[in-house]
Amino acid sequence: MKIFDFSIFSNLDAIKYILTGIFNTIFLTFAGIGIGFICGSLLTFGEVYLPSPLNSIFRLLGEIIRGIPLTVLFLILYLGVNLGALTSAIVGLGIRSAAYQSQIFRSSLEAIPQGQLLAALSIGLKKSEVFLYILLPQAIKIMIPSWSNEFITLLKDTSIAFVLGITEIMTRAELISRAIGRYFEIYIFIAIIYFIMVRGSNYLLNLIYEKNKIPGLGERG
Amino acid sequence: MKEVLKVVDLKKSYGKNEVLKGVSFSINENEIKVIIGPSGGGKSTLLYCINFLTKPNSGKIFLDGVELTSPNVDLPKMREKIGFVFQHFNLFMHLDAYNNVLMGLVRVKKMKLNEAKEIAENSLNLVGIDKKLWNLYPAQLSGGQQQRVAIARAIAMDPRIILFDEPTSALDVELIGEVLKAIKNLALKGMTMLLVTHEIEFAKDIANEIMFLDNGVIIDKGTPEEMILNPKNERIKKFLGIITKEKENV
Repeated sequence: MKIFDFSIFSNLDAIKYILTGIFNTIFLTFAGIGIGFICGSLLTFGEVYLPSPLNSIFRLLGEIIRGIPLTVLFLILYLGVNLGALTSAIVGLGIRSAAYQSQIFRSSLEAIPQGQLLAALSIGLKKSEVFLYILLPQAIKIMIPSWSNEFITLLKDTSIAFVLGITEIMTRAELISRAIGRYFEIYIFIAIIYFIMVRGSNYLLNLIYEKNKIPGLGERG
Repeated sequence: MKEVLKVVDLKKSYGKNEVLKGVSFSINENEIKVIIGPSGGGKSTLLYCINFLTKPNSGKIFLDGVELTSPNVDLPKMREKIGFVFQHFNLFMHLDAYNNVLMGLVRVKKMKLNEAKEIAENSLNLVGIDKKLWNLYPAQLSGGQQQRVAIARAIAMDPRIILFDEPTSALDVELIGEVLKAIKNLALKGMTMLLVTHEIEFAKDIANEIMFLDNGVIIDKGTPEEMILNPKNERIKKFLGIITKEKENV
């Protein structure tokens, strides 16, 4: 028996079956990042703008979610709350991403020097306008690099939806490798596919970053 | 002469530390008053209290006779009429010089873009910011240029008075002159101003009145001649001595 048997890649139906899983992977990634974005914004709002002790409830919520392994979170939703497999996957990825995205949002908001807010108030902007015209545009620019990391992490972690039997690439690869009795080749194959998706995302996100970064900022020590 | 700003018995404490212990003064139209005094004496706090960037504990502030300290005042509307120039410029980092000046005109005054642009350009010209700098971002400008853009941002709003909080003390020595020149230009245009500064020579040159603020109270005030050339108060003499010595050491 060969260590690496390329002949299995001539089974086009099997390969096609695995590759079709990319759609589910991409779907899970965008559903997760989208839900995470909305819920993460709410978490950040609660943490930053609500008076204490309300804000600490939001902070605690984030900390709890960040403290639970994704697999456990999936199984709580699936077996505990009795959500469907796909719903558990989407919700699980979404709320975990929310917990991380909220941290990204909060630190980006806090990275903006307080003096600019005073200056904005001093020319007569209302507090809500200061947020809209001064804070938000800068926070978005600042957060792109760490947000990109979160996107990539989420993309890779969709593979954990495997425990729920969602037919994304990972699950499909597992099914095929068991059927044909070769694991190494198939997992190397999907590792390469994940790598390509990660590199591609990185490339696109970096383009967005370069296009949006604030000229001159961070260039002089 | 019309009174623009009036401050009556203003007090401010941070916890037990009383920073302003009842400060009163007023400024008439076209007048320029300068506040000098040692660090920690309450100068910056006083300016921040005037447009409520810091909330005073008690006392009254009037702008054109309207009480800012009254609970139902429209604060953003009042701040619009009080220009503020900060020690550390505080330009909006995500906007170029031009849009920093445009922001208040478009978002606060809700001006039409053409009208706003004309005012922004005039303001930038007035502080000597060359057209080729208009589309540079704050991080691409020198400190002196940033501070002049900040001054342009303030004057574009057509304020009744401009407050300057040590506008040159964060600048390298060789950049101070261009900022002082811009302020001088405003003085020549008759802008009403209240300045906190350590530039004693400049203060002497520009001020109608100099106030000495120490330990939360205005200890003495008078014309530049009285205050700088012939100070009677021992603490002022000592303060001026220190400032002069520092200058010589530079």
